Amino acid sequence: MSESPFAARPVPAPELPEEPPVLRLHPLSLVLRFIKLLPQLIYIVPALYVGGTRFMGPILLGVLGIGMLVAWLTWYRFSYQIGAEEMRISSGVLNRNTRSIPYERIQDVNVEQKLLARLLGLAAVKLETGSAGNGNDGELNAVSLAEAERLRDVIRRRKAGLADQPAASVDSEAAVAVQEAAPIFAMDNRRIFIAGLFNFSLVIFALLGAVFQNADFLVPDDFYTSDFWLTRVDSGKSFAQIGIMAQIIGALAALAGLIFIGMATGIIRTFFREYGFRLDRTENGFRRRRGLTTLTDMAMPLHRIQAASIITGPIKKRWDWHILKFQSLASDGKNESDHAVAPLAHPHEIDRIMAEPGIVRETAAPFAPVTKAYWGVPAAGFAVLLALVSAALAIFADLRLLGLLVLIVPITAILWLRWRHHTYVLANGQLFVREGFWQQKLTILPVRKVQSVDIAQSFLGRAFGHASVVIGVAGGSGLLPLTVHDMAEEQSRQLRAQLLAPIL
Amino acid sequence: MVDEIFDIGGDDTASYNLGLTPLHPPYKSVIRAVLAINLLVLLAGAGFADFMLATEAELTRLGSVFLPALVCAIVLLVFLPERRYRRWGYDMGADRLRVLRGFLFRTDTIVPFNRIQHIDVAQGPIERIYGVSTLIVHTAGTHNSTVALPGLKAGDANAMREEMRAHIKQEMI
Repeated sequence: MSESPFAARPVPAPELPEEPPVLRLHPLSLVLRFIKLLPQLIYIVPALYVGGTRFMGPILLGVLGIGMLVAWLTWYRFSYQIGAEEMRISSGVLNRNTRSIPYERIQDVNVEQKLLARLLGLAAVKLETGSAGNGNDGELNAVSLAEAERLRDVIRRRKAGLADQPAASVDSEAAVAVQEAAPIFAMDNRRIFIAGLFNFSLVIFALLGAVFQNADFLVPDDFYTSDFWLTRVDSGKSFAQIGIMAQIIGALAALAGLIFIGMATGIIRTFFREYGFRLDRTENGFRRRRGLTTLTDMAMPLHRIQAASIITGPIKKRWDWHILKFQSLASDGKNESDHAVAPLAHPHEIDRIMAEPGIVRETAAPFAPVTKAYWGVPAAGFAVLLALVSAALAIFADLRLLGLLVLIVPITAILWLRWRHHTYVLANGQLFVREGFWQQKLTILPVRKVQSVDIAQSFLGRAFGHASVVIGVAGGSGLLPLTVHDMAEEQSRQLRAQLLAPIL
Repeated sequence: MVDEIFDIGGDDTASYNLGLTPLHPPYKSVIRAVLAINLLVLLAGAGFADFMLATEAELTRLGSVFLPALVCAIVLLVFLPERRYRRWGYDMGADRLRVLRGFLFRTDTIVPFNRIQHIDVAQGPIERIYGVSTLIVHTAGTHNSTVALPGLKAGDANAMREEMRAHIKQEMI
């Protein structure tokens, strides 16, 4: 029985002198878990209806109790270790899983504080390795903020191959303090307000619509009929009696109201997301902090930056406002494939940020247009489609519906504008691609970041002799890859050769 | 013959795949086998519909749905594999892999070897019977994160993998 762990315990294990301590998440994370559990209680409401209300108390308590027991077990069985070479995360109540993440494979350490966690003084530490999945590869759901910051520093230092010395920690904190004094870019409240003006959003109506959809039992039956409103607003008088001017004024007022609501929504949303925005230069890249209720702290190493895009628009341009985003392998949200490093900035501020990864914003080389097929082919397609639809409607419904053909004009105009604003140039080892009229986006891709190049050609392209060049870049959107549309066939081959030449 | 009629531009076979290496010819049989399995499922559905319409609803005569479907299936089975086969082409360069695919929408991809993250050689049960493999190349790009080249002779696929692997270096990603 000398092999028994109990017998062995008094003797300290000599073969593993540096076994790192086993750490657990903060006990208050149980509170977070408990609050997350509450909405699930709604699922037992139908059961209560069936079973009657007599057992309501015991059932609720039982469900909560079981939930908390599971939560506690999960918490108890979740531990992490900060080793010399790797970080280990053990989890699972019955099925144990131990994941080891070597420091050199950790790409980003992000600290995030949601509102609730902030109230409790907790933070989530998210680790990202380079694996292709979009999720986090390791997440410590809730540790104290101090522990989160300690972990981030320790992991960054170990990743850099430095020993874990207290002196170094003081140094790095001193370094952080120096950087705190001079962010590379920051936004004050005025700037955030202006950014909000441009983030016009009518999402509130979608939300209201969803609410009505789900709560329609609260709405009177005749809510959607005009009589319901006329009797309330107009007290019997018909709108037709108030005269054409009044009608126009009414319509304008409604439009102004819509614009006001859209702008207000945009400003509020922008404040929630961008409040306290600051971008710092750290020893290996950028660090971005922002957020009003949900604080995010994102690290972006320079070598992971793949491309830059500068976004503006006809209105923003008047005041020389631009948005700068970096395309990076990491993504800090499920709906954001780019990292906004400057949500609203002037060119000189953008130049300062872009100088760090060494991407040049401007080129003297002239941008080349793409072939007219880029607007001609879809315009012809729309025209044919509209002609067919309106002819069918005219025959089967009303001759006046032929007027739908007028739509060809604005559609063609939009497509033409889109073509006018789609240009490209390959200069100084960077590919510049401009696209969009309303949202004017300039993507700048250093050629050495090219992963693959396609020439895509449809049957129409083969007939008219144009082809698109589609470039595989790490990170960014998979649905809308960087594309130079509808170039002349010969030029597309040339561009591909030029893009690949420096890599091969 | 039939192929030329459908070819836009009426190109001959050699220029259709731009003079690239064609796939291993037994791959046609793989396409045909997979197609046959899919068509069998559809034919079973057509047979059932035919039976229901003829005997239960008494709208049509027995076989008036199934027989045309059968004819279509046989025509497809005879002509489609050859056409699908011809859409593919590849070129194994000294430093790059080029893959040409698609008919109405054609895509011509070049992946430089030093941008390859890892390589799979896959073989399904039908592919195994005919001794062909699929080579799948993974890149770091979100677009073209995998480029698949089916219908390679199993030995060739392995040789290509070995050659590419020699080029994969630790890159800056």
